[in-house]
Formats: sequence, C-alpha cells, structure tokens
Amino acid sequence: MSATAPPYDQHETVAEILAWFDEKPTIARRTQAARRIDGLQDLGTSTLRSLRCVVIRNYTIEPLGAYLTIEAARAGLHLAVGYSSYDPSIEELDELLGAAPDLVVLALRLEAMSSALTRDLLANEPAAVEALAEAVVDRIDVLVQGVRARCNAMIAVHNFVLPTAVAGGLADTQNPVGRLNVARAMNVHLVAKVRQTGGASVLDVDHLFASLGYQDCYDARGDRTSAAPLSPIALEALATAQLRNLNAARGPLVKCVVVDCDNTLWGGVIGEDGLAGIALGDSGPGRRHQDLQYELVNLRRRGIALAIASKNEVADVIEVLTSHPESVLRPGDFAAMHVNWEDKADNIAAIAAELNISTGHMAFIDDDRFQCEWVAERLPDVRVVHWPDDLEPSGSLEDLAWFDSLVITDEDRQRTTMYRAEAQRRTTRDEAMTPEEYLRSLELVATVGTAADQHLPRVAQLTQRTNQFNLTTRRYDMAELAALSDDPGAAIVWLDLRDRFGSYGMVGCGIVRRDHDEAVIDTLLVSCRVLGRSAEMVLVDQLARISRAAGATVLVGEYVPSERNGQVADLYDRIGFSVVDTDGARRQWKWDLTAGRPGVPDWIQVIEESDGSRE
Amino acid sequence: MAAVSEAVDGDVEGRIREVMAGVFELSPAEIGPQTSKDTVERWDSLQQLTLVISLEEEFGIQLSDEETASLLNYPLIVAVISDRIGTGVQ
Repeated sequence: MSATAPPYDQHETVAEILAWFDEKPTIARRTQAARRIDGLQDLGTSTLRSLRCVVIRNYTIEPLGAYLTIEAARAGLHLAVGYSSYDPSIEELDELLGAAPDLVVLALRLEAMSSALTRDLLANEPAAVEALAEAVVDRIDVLVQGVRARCNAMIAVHNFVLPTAVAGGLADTQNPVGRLNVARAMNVHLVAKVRQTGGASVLDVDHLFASLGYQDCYDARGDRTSAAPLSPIALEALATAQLRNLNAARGPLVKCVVVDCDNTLWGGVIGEDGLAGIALGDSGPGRRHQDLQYELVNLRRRGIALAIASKNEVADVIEVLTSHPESVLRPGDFAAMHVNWEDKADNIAAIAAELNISTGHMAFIDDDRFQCEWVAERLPDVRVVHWPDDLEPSGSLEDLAWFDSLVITDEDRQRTTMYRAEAQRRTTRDEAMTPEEYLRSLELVATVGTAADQHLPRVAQLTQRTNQFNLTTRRYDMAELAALSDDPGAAIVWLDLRDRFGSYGMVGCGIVRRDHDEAVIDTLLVSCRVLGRSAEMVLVDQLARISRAAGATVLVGEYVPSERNGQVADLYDRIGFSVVDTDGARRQWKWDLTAGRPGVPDWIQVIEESDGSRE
Repeated sequence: MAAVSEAVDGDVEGRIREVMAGVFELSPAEIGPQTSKDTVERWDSLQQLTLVISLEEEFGIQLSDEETASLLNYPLIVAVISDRIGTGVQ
C-alpha cells in the first residue's frame, strides 16, 4: 500500500507517467499525471523541450492545461502556460508577453464578448448586427496585432463555436443576420483578418466541436457555475488540435506516400480481374477505393509526392490509371512508380533514393498485413498504414496527422512536376559526361532577390525543412522572418533555380546580419533537390554584394554542426574564405569584401530581381 | 511507481479519497473529516471544478448544481456521493 507515498517521485520518467495515465485515463489521473510531468520539468529531469505559452481568454480554460501537458509530452514538448485576465485588453499585453512566449493562443468566446450578438441578438435592429459583428472581429484583430508587435510567438486564434440552442428558433437560420449565420460570417471574416498577420493562424474549434457533436462538447453546468463551458471530450480534442496546429508550423511529417495498387487503389486484382472487373467508382464496393484516390490526389495538390510500389505488370497498372473511367489518379499524379515483382521494402528504398526523400519522411499504404509488417521491419523509419484498418476515427488519411501544414505554397502545388523533372535529369546524368559537362548541359538559371512579404512563407518552410545543406540550421517562422525583413541591419535573400527541364522553384535562401563593418551570414541553405548545382555560390555572392553595398568590409561565414549537415562543414574553405575562429565544432571564416566578391561559376546564369527589394 | 494506489472497487470512501488525493496532490491517508476547502491549500475554484468532474467520472453520475455547490469538505462529499449511489450498497 503506497498510501503515504509522496505526491511524485523525481526518479520517474515522462514515459512512465504517460504509461501510468494511459493504463487508466481518468480525469483524476490526468490531473495528477500532468502535475507530475510539471514537477519533473521544474526539477529539470525531464527530456521535454520547454515552450512558453500564453492563453488570452475570456472564460475558464485552465482545465485545458492538464490535457495540453499530456498531449505535449507525447510530442516531446512541455508547455508552461500563463493566462490573461477574463477581460483581456491591449494594456495587459506588455506584462503578459514579457517572457517572450513561443505560442500565444487567443481563446475568446463570442458569448463573453458580446451579449448583443448572442443571447440578446433579437433585441437588435437587423441593420445594426453586421457592424456589431465587425467590431468584435476587429477587437480580436487588434489583440492579434498587439501580440505580433510585442513578440515573435506563433499565434493561434480560436474561432467562434456555434451554440447548441438558438434564441431565434427555426427562423434564426432563415435570417442572414441570425445568431448562427452571423457567427459563421464572423468566422470567415476572422480568417481574412488573421491571415494578414505573419505567424498567426486560425484554429477551427467550431469545426472540431461540430465533428464531435456540440452537445457533447458543451458543459452547461461548468458554464453556469465556473464560466468553464468545455466538457472533458472538448478539452481532449482541443488539446490534440492545439498540438497539431503547433507541429504543423514545422511542415508535414510525411513528404511522400507510397501506395499499393490491388485492393488499395482499387478493389480486386487487376492481373486476374481485368479492367472491367476491378471495383472502383462512386458507389458500391469501389467507393472506398475511389475515396482513397481522392484523398491521395488532394495530398498531391498539397505538395506531398505520391508513388506506387506494387507487385504487378506495369502495363496493367498504367492501363487502370490511364483508361479506367472512375480512376481519379492518373499516371501524372505519381512522382515515381515501381511496379515489379521485387521486394516492396527494396522498392520503397529505391523510391526514396530516386526522389531524394529520406525514408523517415515516407509513408506506405497497403491492404496486405504481411507486406505492412515486412516493410515496417525492413524499413523501421517508414510510417506504415494497414489500410483501411489503421484509419481511426474518420477513416480518412487526415486521422494520421502526418500531412499538416498551415500554408500551401506555389512550390507545394508544383512539387510532383519537380520530382518528375528530377528523374529526367538523372537519366541525362547517366549518359557519359564529366560533371562539368553535365552542369553545362542543364543550362542553369538562378533568379535571386531580397525577400518581400510574399516570399516569406516559402523562406520559412526552407529554414524549417532543410537539414543537409544548411550551415547553421536556424529555424525561422513567419513572424521572425517578418521582423528580420523589417530590420535595416539584416537582409533575406531568396534563390529560385531553373534549368532546361523546368523550374525547381525557390530552393535556397541566405540571411545576413550587419554589425558595423562586419556582415555575418546567419543562415545559408540550399534544398537537397539542387545539391551540386552551385546555387550556394550564387547566394554567397549575393550576400557579399548586399553587404558591400551596405558598407560592410568583412563577410563572416559560420558553420554550426548538426546531425545532418556534415557535408557542408568545409563549404567556406572550398569557396575560399579564410578560417578565423574555431569554437569546438562551430567554426567561423572571413571574406575580405574590399577585395571583391567570391563570384559564381560560369555554367550558371544569374538574374537579379529588383522587385520586392526593400531599398 | 504509481503515487496513489487503487482502492478496492465498492469501497466508496476509498474511491473518494483516491479522487481527492489525485486532485489536491495529497496522499489518500491524509484525507479525513478535517479535509475541507479551508484546510487544503490547492482547493480553489478551479480544483473544485476538477474535483466535481472527477467524482462524476469515477462514480458514473451527473451531479446537480446544488450538489456541486455543497461539495465543500470530505464528510459532505461522502454524504452527497453515498446518497446518489445508495449508501454503501454495491
């Protein structure tokens, strides 16, 4: 009997606490488990990465704290959460945001912001309602901008949850300025406002609760007695969604989905059943397969590469994708196809090499349990989905939370085309040529410019996702980049590359910070898709040009080692910088700008784009 | 490693003590007739809320606003819960 045991044991681990909670996930245990994790964090014995979070709210949202602690711990994070007053104002922000939070959540209930738009809506002249609604959204926008002006935190704004019961009754829905329609319109308006602030996004709490059921998410008694309207179901879902939103800022976990064909992309076996015999369509047994195809094509449109690994005759697979009237997916949707009778794990590894995507960023979907287990064992990094059994609760790939990102860039939409162009380039390279002949044959053109607002989402994505050719591995979000691009002592340079096979999109960037006559290259990175094309030379040369123009006489390059960036440890040596400092593995080099710029190889043409320059 | 042991099913007071211990960061043995909102430092309005939903979950009941408002010390909690589930009868 451990009745007199101390509240927590400093020798336990986060994993042990989570296992103890999962064994019997009651509210009492959750409270206790969260407190014990907080205790470990205070003692400094946990391995969780600590983030500061501030919640600007107008209702009792503190019960969310224990849920957030548990869900964050599963993701290797710890959130230290602080709360605003119940009537948050701009005056409060200085003190609230003083500790440079990493995440700011705005959780403002419409019910507590405006009784005129909620319980008292029917008292209004209909003509007055729109102005009231706009004023409420503007108040939130003022807070969002107030937060942005004070810190670089990622900002998540909760939208308005529709009520379960409506004072206007059935007539409410017929009224464009009724309770429900006004809240819906405000949610649309909120997105339009929030997206204008860098690093801010809307968390669709309304959709989340609607999916679960508004009744189940609402705690009427908690609302009456403690201004705490969220039920345990709502709190759990909200904590998960909040973490998902936070992780999405780092881009999707999976970059490529490899799918099986028979009984996955369609029902039946094409080699036996033939084109007319397989199940694929919008009704009957083929519906589930067509739904999966729609999900996959939408992932492709979001920038996730698709590939096929199937034991089949390649002509059969191509025939379905080309000729089946109900096939949503076409051959052009796939960046790679490995249709043969070889081992699937080998095929997945080959796809990874062909597309230059690590297996840790790949998912594999198959209906065959044996293949799933085989791939999981041979390639433990690959995320394996036994379809459709593994998809819970909605049966959608979205249940996996592997494909989240908060913005979709032009590069994302073009990504499959780029992967395919890359495969063509590889064919060219296989023809006998010297490396320089090959580079000349590509007819490389680099376009460079100083980053303006429209470039920042992609620059942020590059800093967050580039691991190998990244000299310092400094990750930036939109808000931090917006601050840098406004800083006259700093410059962000982007690089867009194309060759005769097509565009690679924006594949590199550099950030330089000037301190008197010294300019330091804070960030220099090039996407792994264009390694060996000398794009980095163009970036360094541009950073030198900008730094010289701003009056710097010395350009400093540095290398901060990470687990993945060993290949660039000697980059500045290779360019011709001279070593000035070695601090452990971190090193610095100098280039004398008074003697000129490093220059670029003659096989790459450089176009300097003046649009977007801030000078 | 569990800091709190699980009470035997059916022991209503034991189960209440377990829940209270979890919510207020006490050991179950410390909880008795003297345990009240006035003697437990952590027993604020937020923990009151957690206590109510934890008790509801543990006993599979839904408490009314009046019952909720009366859960101010251990004897009252035992009385309210016993009343709702039938005294000591399991």
